[in-house]
Amino acid sequence: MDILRFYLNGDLREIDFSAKESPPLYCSVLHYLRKYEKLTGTKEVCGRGDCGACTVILASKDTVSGREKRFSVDSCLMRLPQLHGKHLLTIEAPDQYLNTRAVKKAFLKERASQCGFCSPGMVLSTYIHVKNQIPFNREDIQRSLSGNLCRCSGYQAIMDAALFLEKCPEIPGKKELPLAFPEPESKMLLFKQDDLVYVIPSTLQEFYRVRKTWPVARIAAGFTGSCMDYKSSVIDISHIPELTHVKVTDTHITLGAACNFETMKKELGSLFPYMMPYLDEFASLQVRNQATLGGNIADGSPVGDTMPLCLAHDAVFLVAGPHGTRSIEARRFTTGYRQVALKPGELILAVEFPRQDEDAFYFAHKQARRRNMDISSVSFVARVNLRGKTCRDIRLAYGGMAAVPTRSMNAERFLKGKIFSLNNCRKASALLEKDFTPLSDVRGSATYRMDVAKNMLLLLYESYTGNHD
Amino acid sequence: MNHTPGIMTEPDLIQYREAAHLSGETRYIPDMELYRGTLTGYAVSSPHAKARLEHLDVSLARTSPGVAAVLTANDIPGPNTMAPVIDDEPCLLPEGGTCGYMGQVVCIIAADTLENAKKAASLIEWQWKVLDPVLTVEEAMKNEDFLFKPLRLKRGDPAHVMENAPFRKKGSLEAGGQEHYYFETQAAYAVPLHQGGLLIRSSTQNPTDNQRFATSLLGLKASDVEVQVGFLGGGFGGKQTQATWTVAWSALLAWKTKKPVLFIMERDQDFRLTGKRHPFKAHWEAGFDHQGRILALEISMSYDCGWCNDVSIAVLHHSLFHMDGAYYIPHIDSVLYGCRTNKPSNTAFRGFGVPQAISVIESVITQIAQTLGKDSANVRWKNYYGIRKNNRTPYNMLVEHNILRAAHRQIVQKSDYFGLRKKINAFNKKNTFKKQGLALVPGKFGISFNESFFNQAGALINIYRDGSVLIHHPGTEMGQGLHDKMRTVVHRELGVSTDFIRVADTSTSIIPNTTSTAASTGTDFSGAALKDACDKLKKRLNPIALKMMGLEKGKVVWENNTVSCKEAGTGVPFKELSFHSYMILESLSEKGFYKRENIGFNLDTMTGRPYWYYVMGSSVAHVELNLLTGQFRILDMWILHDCGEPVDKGIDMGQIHGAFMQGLGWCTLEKLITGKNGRLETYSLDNYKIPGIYELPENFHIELFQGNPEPLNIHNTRAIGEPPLIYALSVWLALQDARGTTLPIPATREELIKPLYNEE
Repeated sequence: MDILRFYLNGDLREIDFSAKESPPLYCSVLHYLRKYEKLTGTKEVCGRGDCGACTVILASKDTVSGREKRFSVDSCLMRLPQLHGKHLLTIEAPDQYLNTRAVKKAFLKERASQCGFCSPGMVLSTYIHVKNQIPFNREDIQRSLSGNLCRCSGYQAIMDAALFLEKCPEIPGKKELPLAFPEPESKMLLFKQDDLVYVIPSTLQEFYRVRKTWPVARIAAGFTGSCMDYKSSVIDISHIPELTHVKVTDTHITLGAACNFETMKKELGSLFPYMMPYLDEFASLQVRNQATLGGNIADGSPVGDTMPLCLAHDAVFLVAGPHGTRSIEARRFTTGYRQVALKPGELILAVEFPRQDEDAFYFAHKQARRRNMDISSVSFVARVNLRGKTCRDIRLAYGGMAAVPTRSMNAERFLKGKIFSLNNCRKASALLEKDFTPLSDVRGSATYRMDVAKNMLLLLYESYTGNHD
Repeated sequence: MNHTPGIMTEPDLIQYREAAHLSGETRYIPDMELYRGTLTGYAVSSPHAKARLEHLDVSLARTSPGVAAVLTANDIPGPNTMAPVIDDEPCLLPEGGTCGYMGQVVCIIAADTLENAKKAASLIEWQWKVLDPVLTVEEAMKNEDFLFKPLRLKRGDPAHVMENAPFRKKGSLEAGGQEHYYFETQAAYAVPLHQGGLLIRSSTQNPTDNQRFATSLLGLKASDVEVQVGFLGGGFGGKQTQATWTVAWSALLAWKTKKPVLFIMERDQDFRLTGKRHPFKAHWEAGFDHQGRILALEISMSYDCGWCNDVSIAVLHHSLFHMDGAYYIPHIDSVLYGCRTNKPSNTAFRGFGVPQAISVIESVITQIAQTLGKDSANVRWKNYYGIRKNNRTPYNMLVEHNILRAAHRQIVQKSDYFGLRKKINAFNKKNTFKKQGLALVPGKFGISFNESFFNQAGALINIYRDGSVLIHHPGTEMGQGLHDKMRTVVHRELGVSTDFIRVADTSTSIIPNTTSTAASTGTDFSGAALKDACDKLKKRLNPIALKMMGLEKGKVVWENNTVSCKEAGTGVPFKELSFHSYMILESLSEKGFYKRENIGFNLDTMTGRPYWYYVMGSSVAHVELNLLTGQFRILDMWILHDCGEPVDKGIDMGQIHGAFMQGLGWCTLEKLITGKNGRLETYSLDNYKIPGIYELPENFHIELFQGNPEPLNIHNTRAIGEPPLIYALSVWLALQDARGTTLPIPATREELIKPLYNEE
């Protein structure tokens, strides 16, 4: 049985889960901090990654470059064992490790804290914006702080405080000391408590082996989808090198399944810039730092914002299992409501996207109730290949319109070979009724979903003309 | 207890309440250090919206591991009631009783851990006879199931004038509720003291009501129970009466077990159990002339009050007195129905019925303008209250210090309203799927509790012999900056620098019989009471100061930490005066008191003076709506608001920003959905959305109206907490303007794309 090792605000922590009084194996980092460390500056508000009040800073060290990287996460969506090998910084961290002085001063100057419950998280998100040298403009600040809700201030003072920091001579992080990290271990880790295990295999082979031993354990990497609810054993695949690898060739870009959304945004966004705003609206920065591509796909959700991307790009999933590897086309992957084509013991290794065709035009839109941190009512990604004005090939991929993310085959068939015009898009939109019978729920009625889906084709055309005329 | 200076040691920062917030040092209830042996409280709710509790057996639950107590209605020593106004709200649902909504609490459990309490809850045996719940105001209206007699305010002869009006228009409006979503859920910590006393640390806006119900439920005397309040993690009206639940339950459990009990509502439970903003349906008819002047108006509004009264009758009164909005309406008849439904009992929420009333009257004005083909800003101008005539409200109160037209003129100029109108028309002609809209909405908001006895406050100032000052006032600090403002008031009165003034946590043992920190009156009441204490102190200490200066008499001034006599050119440091007074046996402690007399109204004639003064202002919103997605941008938002002479401009600006954004959430984003069986489907942040930083207007221009001090109020200021919320209605109306149709509240994306397919 292994000992969990990580640093907390400059001090080493070693947790033996078999010891009496040790926190539960499924303990969230938030509860660990508040209950076991008595560090109450990290607040609990929503408890499910929707508010950012529990934001903490996680630092990791690149084993090759030796460089330290800091990023923000929601501590309510993290399990304690995920901290292994990392350095956790909370609002209570001493100045020499986490210097938030300038941020706090700016917040005070602008009166950006009212009841104060969101403030520690807000300060840390602002800190990470400054620390990671993100530009000081409204849009970038909004992106950095969109994972932190505030019910009192109305955000203007917070925005003003963040903007003020650009002119602030006392740059946060200037006088910080390098952080300590536990010795890196390239071996499998096994944490055990009573009947529960949390296993972190370091190779694929180890994964197959432990999968056999614990066939019903939850496979997880980012854990943002099920951290709160799942209290059984876990196999954490985030340490398997093949799963975090990114490979770019002349014809393809291949992303490891455990790449988080921020990595995905960076890598895919550089080839397909249209994806950037779409992926920015996925959850929040904190969640995008944790959530993985493979997790979003394997979840089998009817919405799952990455699936429409995969469908529009004719992506292929590389799947590995004890009997070898195979490929599954994106359109054959989700087989039913929260059901996927993985066989027992298999996992998604990577997702392969073909490089952009010269004549392809892309468009993506996420329709939710709020711009970010919301589950889509309808998500839409389209690819149009044009020869002159004629639609040579087309993909119209929807999430939220059926039990699984699906392409609209009737609309695609109609548009293929026709002139790509507003009128034809309008006609095609009527055919969506043949493909979909959406449901009503808290995220929107069936009528609304259908209307949005139809409007997407008009929006696609608008976007095309905006870009091409 | 709340503020432990530590990491943040810079002297220029440490005195700020916010510095502790930003460093995570503020101790809200869930962050407190607990006494040894503290138990965790948990409430067990009814699983039905309407059902008779036929049988209840908790004996098995009582034997569950870790359980210290399971209490039912039978275990309550005093009367089982905790209704603030009308007695229809039991603390725990008794066997044989019928539950009013899904979530009503049947029994409470104290255990060593929350997990054990929940395990015990699963062992409770009960039988319910399920009845059909009433979930809409239509049903309640049909059954005439009202919580109190409908409220009616009538002036003139609207029916007759309507008949003869040159133009007539009918309309209706539906608005949803709103969850407060204070970040700190309802929470209380009850600690049994020696000699049978009880100390309760509570996250409440209303410590005295907390004390009152803990006292009556336990059969104690008020002097036995102390309620203390530190900093609240948000209130917004949601901790005015609703905070009493956790207090009552923790008090009962602590009393029974003789152990401290911590009771924190889990988020989902808080969502399902506690009341929200009142939803409503309204129907109206207006008669008007060719200029858009309203001649007669008839309004009927059905409010969804939920299962019991709570403070609904007060909310509806406040609403009734704002049906006129900012406008003089010569003939008006408004009838408000308080409907009973099987939902959580709706309660106070920033605005307290006013936003609802204003949304209706502004709808009326907008539609009159549309009918006549006029710009709605011009129609508003025609209808504003006058200064010398047309200046009495339907309840016959004189509208004084009226700046409505001045604010209108200024904001039209600042926003270039009519220039913008032309640009928008051109934009809308050019664009098929994107439309811009514009709207101006004035503000007029009455300040005071309508019930006269609430309009009082006590205060206590203690000066220590080292010259430091501790102030006690009845208000609670929930983020609105009241403590900071009170420090400023005392600083201005005593001339002592703010780092020598500390504001104590609120306590019912120090300031008794407090009024809820609500109705935006915190600064008005606490400030005036503190000023009274300062005046009395100065009166006693002035002769001593003069004596120290070697003078017989003279005009004494308190400023710059010195008590001086300008004409004699001499003075003594405040610190020395404090020490000297102590040495010569003079008390350095003083209490103050403030009351607003003659506030109220006659229930028979429905006339009187329910308010001390009005707060006014104006706003303009300029939006751009995408008709294909329902997404919109607030390109520009102008607010011109009159705070009189602000005690603290920074705080007041923050209140305007925050109130606006909360109003924006109500108008465009936050949608509560109740299922057919009465279950709240939107019970957490993943299915209930509040505004985030992306919802911030792209250009937010706020200015304070200059030159209209409020002589009736402390330091010539005006209340600020609630009034600016109504400016968010300008965004809602600008969206209607962009689409050329009416919209319900909230105008969600789902609503905003509707016209497209209606047209096709």
